Amino acid sequence: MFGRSRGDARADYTAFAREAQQRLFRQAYLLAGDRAGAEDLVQSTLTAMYVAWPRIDDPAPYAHRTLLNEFLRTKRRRDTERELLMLDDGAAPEHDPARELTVLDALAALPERMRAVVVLRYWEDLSVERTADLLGTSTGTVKSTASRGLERLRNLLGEGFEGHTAAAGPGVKTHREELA
Amino acid sequence: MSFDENLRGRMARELDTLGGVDVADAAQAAGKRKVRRRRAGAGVAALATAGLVAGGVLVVTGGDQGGQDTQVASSTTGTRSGEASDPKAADPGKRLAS
Repeated sequence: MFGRSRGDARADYTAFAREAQQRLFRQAYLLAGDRAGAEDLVQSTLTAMYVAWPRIDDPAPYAHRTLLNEFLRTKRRRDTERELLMLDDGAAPEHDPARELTVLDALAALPERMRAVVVLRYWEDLSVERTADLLGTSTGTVKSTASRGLERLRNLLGEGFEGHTAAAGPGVKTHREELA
Repeated sequence: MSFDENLRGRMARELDTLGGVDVADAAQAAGKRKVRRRRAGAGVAALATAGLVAGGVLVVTGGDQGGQDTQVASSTTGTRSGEASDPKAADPGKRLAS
């Protein structure tokens, strides 16, 4: 960014934002559990990046960190609202048993912090240590939360889910670290 | 295939069904507004600081008595702590610039 004109830098931002928004939306949807929440997360992330753009060296990881931080920051607001209104733990509304439960539905049914751990570990494919660092918690907590999250998903999705052998979609990495 | 490997694949396929999102332009517009507000706020702060500094300079130099020894004021009113905030109290011999 050093030495470049402001116009060049802003053109870089525009190109980055348009290219990254779909990728960010996928992560945001996994975290937020619904389209409106996901769009809000992506927009607030890209807005924050516009303001900070001259200081950003590596936009891609910065974007993902910012999105996660924005999710956790707004989580605190949602937690406060729930406490005031004495609502549940942030899980999605009861699933209609007449409709087959999707993975996204099941994920949305997890408490938000557990959902974040599952997304970072199994979607973003981050290590336990990196996940703990991003969430400001211990590696032990990440391991136990991830384990409980997978267990909940397994229970929600049923035994038949594990029998699926379909490959991951195009562009989806399958290499990952072993569960520590 | 293990549960978690399968999980990632299912997530990807279901996310593929969601369609696109187009918030980049709105985010850029919101970012521009934030930057403008910050610059406006910084400008107001700068003006306020300049006003304080100018007031302090007037007290220190005594206006048109620039050649005389000056006493550094401990505040913009030229008063030491504990004294009344009468500009003339800092140094009764000095006159404020008119």
